[in-house]
Amino acid sequence: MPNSNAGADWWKGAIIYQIYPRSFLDTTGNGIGDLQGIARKLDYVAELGVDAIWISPFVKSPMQDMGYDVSDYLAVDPLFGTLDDFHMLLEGAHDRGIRVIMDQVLSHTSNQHAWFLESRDGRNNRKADWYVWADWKADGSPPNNWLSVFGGSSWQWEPRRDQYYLHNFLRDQPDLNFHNDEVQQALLDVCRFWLDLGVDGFRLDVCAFYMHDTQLRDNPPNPDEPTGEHFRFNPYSKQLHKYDIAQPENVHFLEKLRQLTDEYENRVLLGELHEGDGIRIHRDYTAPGRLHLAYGYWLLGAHDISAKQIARISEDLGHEFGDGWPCWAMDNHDFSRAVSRLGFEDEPEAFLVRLVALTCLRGATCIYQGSELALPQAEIPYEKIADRYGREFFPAFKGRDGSRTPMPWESAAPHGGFSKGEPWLPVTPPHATLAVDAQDQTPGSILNRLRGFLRWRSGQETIRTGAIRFCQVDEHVLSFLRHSGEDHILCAFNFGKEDAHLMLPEGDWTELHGHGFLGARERDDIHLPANGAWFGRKSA
Amino acid sequence: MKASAYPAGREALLAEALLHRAEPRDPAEWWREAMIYEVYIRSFHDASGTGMGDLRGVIQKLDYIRDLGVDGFWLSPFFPSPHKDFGYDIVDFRSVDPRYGTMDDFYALLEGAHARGLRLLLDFVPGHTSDEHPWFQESRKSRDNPKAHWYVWADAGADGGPPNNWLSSFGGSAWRWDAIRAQYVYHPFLACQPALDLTNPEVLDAVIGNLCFWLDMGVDGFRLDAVQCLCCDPALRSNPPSISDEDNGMVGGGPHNPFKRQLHLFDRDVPQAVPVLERLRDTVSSYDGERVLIGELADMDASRFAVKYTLQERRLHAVYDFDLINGAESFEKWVGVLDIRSKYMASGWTKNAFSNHDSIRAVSNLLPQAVEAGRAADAAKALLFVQATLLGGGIIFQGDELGLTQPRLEFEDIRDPWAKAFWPEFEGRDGIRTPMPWHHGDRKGGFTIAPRPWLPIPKEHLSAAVDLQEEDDNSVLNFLRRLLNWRREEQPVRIGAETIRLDVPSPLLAFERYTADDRISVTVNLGLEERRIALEKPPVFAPVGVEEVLWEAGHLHLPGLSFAAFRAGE
Repeated sequence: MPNSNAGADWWKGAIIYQIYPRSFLDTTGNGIGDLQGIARKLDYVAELGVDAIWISPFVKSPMQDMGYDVSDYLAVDPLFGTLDDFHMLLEGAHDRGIRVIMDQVLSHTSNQHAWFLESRDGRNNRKADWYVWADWKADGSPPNNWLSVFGGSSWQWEPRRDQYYLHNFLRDQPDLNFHNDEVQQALLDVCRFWLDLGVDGFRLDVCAFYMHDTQLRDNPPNPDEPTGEHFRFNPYSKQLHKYDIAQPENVHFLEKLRQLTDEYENRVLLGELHEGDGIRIHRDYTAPGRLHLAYGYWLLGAHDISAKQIARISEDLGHEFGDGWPCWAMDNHDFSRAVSRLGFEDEPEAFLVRLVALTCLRGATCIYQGSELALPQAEIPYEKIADRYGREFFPAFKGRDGSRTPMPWESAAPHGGFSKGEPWLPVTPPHATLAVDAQDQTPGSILNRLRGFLRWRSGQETIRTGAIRFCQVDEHVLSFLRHSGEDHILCAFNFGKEDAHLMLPEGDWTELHGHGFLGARERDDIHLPANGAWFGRKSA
Repeated sequence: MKASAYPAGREALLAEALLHRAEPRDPAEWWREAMIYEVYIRSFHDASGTGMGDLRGVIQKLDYIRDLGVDGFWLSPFFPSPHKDFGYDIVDFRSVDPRYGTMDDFYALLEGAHARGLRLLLDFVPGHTSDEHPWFQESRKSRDNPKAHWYVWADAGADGGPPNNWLSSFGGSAWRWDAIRAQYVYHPFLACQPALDLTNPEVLDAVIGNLCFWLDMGVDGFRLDAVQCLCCDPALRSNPPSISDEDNGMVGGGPHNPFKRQLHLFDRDVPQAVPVLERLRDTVSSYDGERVLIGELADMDASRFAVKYTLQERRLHAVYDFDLINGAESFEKWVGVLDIRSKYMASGWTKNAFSNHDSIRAVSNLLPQAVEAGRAADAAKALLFVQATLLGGGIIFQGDELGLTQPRLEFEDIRDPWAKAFWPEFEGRDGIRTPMPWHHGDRKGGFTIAPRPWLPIPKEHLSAAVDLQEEDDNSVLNFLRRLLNWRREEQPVRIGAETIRLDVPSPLLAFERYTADDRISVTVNLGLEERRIALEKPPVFAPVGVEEVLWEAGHLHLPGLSFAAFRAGE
């Protein structure tokens, strides 16, 4: 029986710290972070009070998309270290009670992967059907109107086969053909390899992109103006992605993957969903027997995060018994840093209260490295941009490097103490002043406040796994009840710049302390200063 | 601009061209039968030790160029450029890229060429710029800036896709999304080479201004890049599919380039280019001396359509094309192309190019069996002989005077973005762009003192180096010198008409060059076996043929790869 073990529900309200290995800590001096660097900072991670780390890809890759283009699923890229390094890291994490979630990029491979090199060589080889190949139209142009997220047609002509292949991202990232059972089996074998090794789960990159329409029908135009900030600069948003991605058969593969995962104890699947139609897909993909958790782009691309918005998304995702579990995220390696995006560079407390509110909602939360320091977006000049996505759409979209710069560990050390060599992206002066060592010493720093809060939260089982019911929600005030059995906890936050008030719901409430946020109760009235929060427990 | 009405459609343009026959000129205009040498500066001679050739390197070799006996040379682009297409992506049309030298170097080169009686043609790219050119940087900023209409911009289709089905001959759509303007911009070649809108009078004025900058300085003319792409259909109509492989026999990029699957009615060779051509010609004609425009005509049936581009001395002086390069599938086909060219050379003018910096080496392309048989030098002589005697004269790419063969490059050595797109079906243009071998005793061929030239010098080219060939009377180099010296005074070659003989068996090639009172017959055996051809009387051989060609008992006997030019005997 799956999920019957003690701790099997650990993921439901987990705090997952995302590590971008390339930028975490460089121990070799080549300017690029590595696995030993992560191992060396495990105490730091443990002290944050997180339940798990998700490590962005570290397997073999020509790095055209910084590791999201895999050329060997079963080997560690030499840039990051060796398989032994990974064993050590895994062991070190487990010793500290930290679970390790690995990033699996299954939708596509690198064009240097042996599977693709064989597949592209002709139409009759053993892997001929492992990728999505199609003939040209009569006029030589691509088979249909599908577009790449990273710009241009999503079809690339391959002279060796005289056919086009599908790539939803860079042309160096051919899409695997998930309609082929052999492909599915090969990918399940990859996952089994890492599960056997002891990883605690997978973050599944673009898992709505696995399947395509086998009839290759054209996508219809999008009748609406693009909504997501993230894509306004990109013609990709002018289509409804009806046929290129998110096909109904997708969930069958997710079910197989879940069955595999359930052969092991306490493992988790965390899916990345795409922007369009995210709510429906979330319900579908996190239904029983499929993913444990999934995150959409709801808050990742947003330039404003209001109380109402958070409540609405949470309600839309559903939180009745049987509904799936979301994973909340304001930041990751694909989006500009929320501190800057939301305009909080001068008011990091406003960022912190939102982050903390997310961790109290029903679901897990991802915290991206550097968010605990409230790092702003780094400004990278065009010459230094490494992200091909950014070079394509610069300057309307400057790519993802601004959120991928190295972690600043020591404010006085060269390159923030990240590397003894020249780092692959610069550590900017604003980041150096926010370095870990500086914040460590400052009692009220964002880092210390977040640590303190997460420590407090870890003792509140109801916040981790309980049900949710929203209370007063207006422009600025977000409040909700988390409840499990007889235990009821009221969580209230003020996102506004002015003081706010909140009426206590009926019942006998006891104020909870130790979370580090300002808020005061006067009889039935809760007074919340700007960026304040209040927590109370209902007496039985 | 001239008020003359020009016909609207492409068929009408052809009809016009065919109605205007021209006669040979006497005395000859220098450019008509001129032999022109192409210098690919990046690979010619490196005087500064950067691993790339430069202007001073060309200056140092001016005597060498003069001694070839050519009438002048065309110098590949040396303008400032990010070099994504090796200088055909230009950011400033009026100066010298520091990698190639200075403006003073250029003055010295021009002076040195003229002092040696050599004409100097620059390489001018009228149809596109680099995307780093200030014009484009301004144009992309908004839809209403002063240069907003300097390039070909168009909105996305309703589904976000490009405005039509046009393809780049270098691969992929010919439209690139620009995120700043939120529009697509047209690029017939690389995405970093947006097309100028030459139908915009302001743009044409600016381009002409750049042309005048160099004319004022005294250059003798220009090789114009890609004249089939000067304009595109203003309505941006999609091309229809092509029906057979025949439609695009002359398109490069390997056997399956998707570009071949369209009939390029709307993105190549459109009537809107005619006034542009006439404006360019008017500009050049307003200068003294015989300044010339020689256009590169590619991706189309150039042997037939050249006349549209060179009509009546109102457009370009001449074009050169790829028909003899890409049309080399069979000997019969090749001779057929020669015949077409001869017949269509009515009022226009086409120069014969057997190779150039965009193709592969002439001997390896046209006579691969001779190269395999170890007879590359003989094959090279035969080809140079044909090139120098055919109507129109020729353009000789650097190194072909040495009979260089196409080297085999590894993918790691490849620099050409076109090759990277179509590898391995198409190996691109690097093979012909390897540096000149000047000295056989140096691993780097005496090309550079840098540790690494930008492309390797193929080992097999060292045994064909200039210094060895200068010492060898029988070398390809010395043969070419004698050949060009001979043709200089031969009136049938300089001004004569031409007839290709279709009555000789393959692989013999025979043609006649003639004026009213003189006639030279040319016969070449392009095969490896001896052949004979009936000839009633013993001929009078010109002193440039292969000695082993004999007349005996009513026949001319031609050993493999031999050739002769002769007048009828008494």
